[in-house]
Amino acid sequence: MLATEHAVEQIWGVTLDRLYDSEEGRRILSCIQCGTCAGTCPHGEYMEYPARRIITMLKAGLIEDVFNSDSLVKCVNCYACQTKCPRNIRLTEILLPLVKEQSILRLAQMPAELQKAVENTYRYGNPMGESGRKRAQWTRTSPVPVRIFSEDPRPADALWFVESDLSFHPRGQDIARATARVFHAIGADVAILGNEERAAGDCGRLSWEPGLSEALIDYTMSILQKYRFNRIIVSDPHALDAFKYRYPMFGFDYPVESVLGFVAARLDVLAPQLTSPIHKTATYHDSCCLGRHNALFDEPRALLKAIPGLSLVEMAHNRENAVCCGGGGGGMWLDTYYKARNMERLSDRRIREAIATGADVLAIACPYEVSRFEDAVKVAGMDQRMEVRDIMELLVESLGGQ
Amino acid sequence: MNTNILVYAERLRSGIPGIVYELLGKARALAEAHGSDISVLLPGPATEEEVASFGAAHRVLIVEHDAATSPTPEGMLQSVHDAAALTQPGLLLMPATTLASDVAALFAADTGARLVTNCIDFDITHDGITACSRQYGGKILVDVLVDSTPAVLCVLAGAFQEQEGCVTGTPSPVKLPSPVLPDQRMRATRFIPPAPGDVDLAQMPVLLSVGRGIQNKENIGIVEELASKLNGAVCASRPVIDQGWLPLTRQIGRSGLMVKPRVYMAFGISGAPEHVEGMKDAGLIIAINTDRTAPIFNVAHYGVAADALDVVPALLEALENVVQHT
Repeated sequence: MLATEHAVEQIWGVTLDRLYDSEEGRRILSCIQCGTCAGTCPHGEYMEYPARRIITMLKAGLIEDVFNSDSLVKCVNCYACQTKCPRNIRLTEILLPLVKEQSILRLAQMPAELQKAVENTYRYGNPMGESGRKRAQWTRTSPVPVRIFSEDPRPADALWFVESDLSFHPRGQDIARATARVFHAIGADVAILGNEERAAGDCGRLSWEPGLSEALIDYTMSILQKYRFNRIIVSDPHALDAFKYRYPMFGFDYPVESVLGFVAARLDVLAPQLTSPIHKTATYHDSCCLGRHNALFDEPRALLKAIPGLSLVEMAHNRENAVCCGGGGGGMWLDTYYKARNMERLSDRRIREAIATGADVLAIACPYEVSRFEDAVKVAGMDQRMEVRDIMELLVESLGGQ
Repeated sequence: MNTNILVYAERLRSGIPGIVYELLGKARALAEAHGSDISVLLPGPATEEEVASFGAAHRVLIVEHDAATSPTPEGMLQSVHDAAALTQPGLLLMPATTLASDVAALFAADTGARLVTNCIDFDITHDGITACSRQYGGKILVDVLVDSTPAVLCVLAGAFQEQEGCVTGTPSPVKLPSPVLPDQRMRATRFIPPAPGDVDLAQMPVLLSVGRGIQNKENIGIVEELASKLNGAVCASRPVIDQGWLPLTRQIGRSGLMVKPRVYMAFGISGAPEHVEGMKDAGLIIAINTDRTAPIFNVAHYGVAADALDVVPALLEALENVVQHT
């Protein structure tokens, strides 16, 4: 399921007309038309051409028809089809982004919200359109000091890539502060890029803007060379994907870990400090990039189980089968576009599963999910009954006032 | 460099569209920095109120002819030439509407002036005039430097703050000669108004917005009642829309409308960043929420820590008393 270094080399530079020149691309020819991809796709019922039909059309030389439909605009890069494909065709990593790029290019009009996010990312280095000079402002309200490389360039064990949501979104900043506090508790030697950081240009979100993605990667690579560190730890799962699968094509070779995995590996140091019990029931939503794409299923659960008093229940769809919140692949900025086509918000669908568990807390580990699910619990009329908390926030609550 | 500004106040029927005041607001800011002289070209007939509403300008050039009420690009072109000859502008600002864009193009072709269409921003620098233009349906932005005057800019609505240009004053009215219109190859025969749809929230001076705190669809009724008393309209945050209590056209926020009313009242809205993005530039924000820590209070000018369902009836009652007194 996970890409190997070799495979990454293989998909570099793959385009639709050179698809069959690579081993990974040729794998598409082994499709047995079983329909697993279309059936597991959370938006499959809204697509004229789900993945199975796209492959058929491609083989029949009718791919232009697919481009001219908006099927792939509805792909939220959730990796469900790729994970479950019995022929191991790398749909979400290779084929779908290429088709998606063409489909978006052919839309009569770029969906306004998405356009603004891309424009902002190009101009300001973040989709919110906030000034890059405010990127490190959240650190001033951090309960513990956060080292910024430009102010203190000594080598660090880890470079913490904070990303835009944690830097600018008010709820994201809560998570950033909580993460800093957890790092402090485990004695991690981390530093951030601060105002020198710009969006990582993750491929899932920006595959339909490859030029922008490359510009951001070039920029980040040039900044990374200024400082010395052993590894990169990443808060945003989409940025994790970018560093793991995209950056190596540009000569990047640092070890990359998710913040979640990094903290879980140091649970022996953290667990004894988790002394304030949380007497609640939580259910964990597996983010697509952390879970399906990078197989981090046990780490978040281990962290939650380490919190005294907190009991963990599972939703009907969990781990590999978790249902996407709808934020990936640009979905974060396609809500209006989807709604205009009478599509149900995936976060509304998912929240019903969370509510059905009877949990008081929906635990998450991806910054997109905070705003998506906090809205969804309101839509479900359950905002008094269920709270949405990042695992880092729950850990800090359990650390108490130490 | 010549920093004088001429603003073309296009109007199709009656009333002056907001974009004209957006342009005037920007012109004011430039005048402060560069001492620009500001003129407005207004197709007449013009009322005293209309002229007074251009307080941001030094003078209003009024031209009265058939083309003003039955506008065609060729018909307006001569007046723009007349106005430009009189005021010698370094910057000619046009709304990026269908008609004004045609006039701008014809004027630029006649005079050799540099033309930048679909501007979302512009400025005067020591190198010349810089403008940012949206191209290819907004897929790319182009930064342009115009190093000769006059520069003709077609500016998109929403580029600047309308209220910055809404200044009443006493600009001197100047009557321009009615142009002798050549045989027009194009004539406007009738005006077809758009089909009446939902209320245009972006145009409403007062907006009453409801959130989850309103509890159920039935409670929106009393907010509607209050809105009609205040000549406002009711809108909502996403959770309310997603529950089907109000149509999608009433959604405020990142995935809905961006609004800048004079007054925005938020009833039971927590103030998620995605919502705040769509209303934070309102002139006056009044927030009512039972939760004192709700983030909506961070952007509100006035806050009431109470239940919206108690506040709305109280406001209605207070308004009754006001009506009785007057």
